[in-house]
Amino acid sequence: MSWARRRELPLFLSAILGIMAFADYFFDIPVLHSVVSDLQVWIIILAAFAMFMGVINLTIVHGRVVMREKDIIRRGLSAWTLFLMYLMAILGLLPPITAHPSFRWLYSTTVAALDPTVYSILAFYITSASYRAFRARNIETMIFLIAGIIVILYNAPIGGYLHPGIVTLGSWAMNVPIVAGQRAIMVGAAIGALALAIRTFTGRESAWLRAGGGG
Amino acid sequence: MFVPGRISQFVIFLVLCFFMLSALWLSKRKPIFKLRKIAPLDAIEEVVGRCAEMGRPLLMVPGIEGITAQTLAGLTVVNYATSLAARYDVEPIMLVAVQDVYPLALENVRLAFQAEGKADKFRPEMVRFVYSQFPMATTAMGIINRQRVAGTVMVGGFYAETLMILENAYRAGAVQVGGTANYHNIPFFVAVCDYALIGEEIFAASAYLSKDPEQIGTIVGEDFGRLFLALLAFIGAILATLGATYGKWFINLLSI
Amino acid sequence: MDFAEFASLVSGLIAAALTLMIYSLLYRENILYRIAEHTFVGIYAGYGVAYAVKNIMDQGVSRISAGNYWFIIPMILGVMLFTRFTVKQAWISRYSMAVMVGVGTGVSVRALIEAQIVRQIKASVISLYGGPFTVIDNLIIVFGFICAFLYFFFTDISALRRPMSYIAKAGRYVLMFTFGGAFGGTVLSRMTLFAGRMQYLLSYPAYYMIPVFVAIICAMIYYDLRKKKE
Repeated sequence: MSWARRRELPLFLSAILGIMAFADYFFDIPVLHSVVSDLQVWIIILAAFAMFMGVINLTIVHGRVVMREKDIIRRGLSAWTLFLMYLMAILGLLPPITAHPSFRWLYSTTVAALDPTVYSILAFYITSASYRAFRARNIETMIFLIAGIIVILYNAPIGGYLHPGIVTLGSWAMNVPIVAGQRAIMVGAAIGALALAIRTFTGRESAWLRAGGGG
Repeated sequence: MFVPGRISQFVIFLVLCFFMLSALWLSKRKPIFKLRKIAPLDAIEEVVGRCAEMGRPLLMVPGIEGITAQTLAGLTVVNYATSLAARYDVEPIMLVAVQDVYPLALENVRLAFQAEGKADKFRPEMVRFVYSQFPMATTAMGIINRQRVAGTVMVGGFYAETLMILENAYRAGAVQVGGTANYHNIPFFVAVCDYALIGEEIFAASAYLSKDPEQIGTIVGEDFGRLFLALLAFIGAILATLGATYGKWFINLLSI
Repeated sequence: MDFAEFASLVSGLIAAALTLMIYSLLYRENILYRIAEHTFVGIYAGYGVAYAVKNIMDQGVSRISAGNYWFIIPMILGVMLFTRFTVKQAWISRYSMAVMVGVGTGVSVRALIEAQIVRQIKASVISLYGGPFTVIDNLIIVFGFICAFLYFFFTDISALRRPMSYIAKAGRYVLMFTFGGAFGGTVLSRMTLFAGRMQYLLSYPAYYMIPVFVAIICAMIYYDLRKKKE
């Protein structure tokens, strides 16, 4: 079985599958289309198995804290995490899967409250980040500041009241220079990603397959 | 045989692939060109060095996307940072929010330790799986504040969690290197990070860091592809200036 | 009060408490934040497990039982992933990862060709002739794009160093303007999110938690000040 251990084989497999995905995009071949859409379902199944790997990791990380840690608070919090994880998983598996009322109740009590809260905390961080970002230190930060202020005023209802020109200026900024920059980022990211795909499929990029730092 | 409307896309794809693959092939022996300096990538050593100096951990996040090009680019950078962390005996903490990425991330960190001859020091807890975007951000904020992280390396596909992690790390006095190709979140890296990778610079990381001639070849090929696309846009604008019919013809040509 | 009403009251109070516990980080990292953090992580992980089982059942088991035996392969590949935790058999998991990387990269990158390359080039096909304002705007769009795009030119060609530096500088200005705009565009939407959360905290039964929370934060500040004095 030493041949199976070789790194080239999985690399070859990933390249073949990647090329199939590209070929399916360009060519109208029904067999290929059904194979690639099945492969996308494979990925969903593999991701589901990977979720269990993640659970093992969480159990190891928090289990070690529970077993070895001296600080009672840290032990308690790790035990609490494990308890909730397994409780939620068990409630989720009660029939009907992921739709049991207790599972839904726990979800709406915790996740439904925490998700928007964590998201909203950004209001504070964006304020402190603005303070630093909008300090004009050189010509580049000056440009950043000007564009930022124009767009903030354009988006805020008060902008139009202050001066009608703000709306015109804001709309110009959004539709002219910002479009140009946005387009450059998008096209650049696409060819960068394509180059990365080529390196991955030719075995030059895959850090996950090659031992060795720096690439 | 072709999916309607994708012949022109296929031709552009072939031209780009031709540039990249031929440059890769031409660089097999020695690089045909050098790459310009990408300061944020050079700064990773400084970030890890600072963690070593202060005896504090290094936090790394390869984005919150599944297995996409950005995540792979992030993992490459993280692999490099982990190698340095292993070399300087810095504790790496890597947070992974997507289950597909977790096995790759684990392998990545393990290989980095192995390459540094410190396989015995690798522990699976170095890669922490925290399912989903906001729980990962909450954990990151907690870790940064509790363990006073001295450096962060965040490269990959980032969204709303970007600023939460960056701002907390800034307050904790961490040196930060980060970047994404997600247009809406690049400004946060530019504003908060000490060293920000902008857009596609994240994809060039592996070639730049490895200094491998073949990898650099693909970047040179990418640059020729860039000139080709810029020329295409320029020709399109000139044709549209010459007359609306020419412009329309060019758009139709790209829609074949 | 019947059971459903009671359950909804308890749910509302816990949700409000968790909301305020997360906000307590803005003062400093503390035990309340840690409880909310660990709750969030635990619940979400369990939630993920339940959905992972559902996906395996719906996407894998049900197809196999319908006679589509081709789906046994991803199930085997999924089990192979776990060899990653061993030392000697870890290589087996590389095959599963190869499938994930191959399909994942292929599918994600192929979508960029149309949306991020061809469509953007098509949008640059605009006339540089017309009224003075149109000409200036269109010149900025076309040449702004080209300069910002060439800013990323990585190859260091000594003969081109000088002209490229001018183009890159112009490109960087365009990019900084774009980033400033994107930053500004996000500020107000984040404020709106926060306002929404405040409205929630001021509704029934969440507002019961506010005095409790204020008392705890005051106690925390008092404790911190005393500790500082000592």
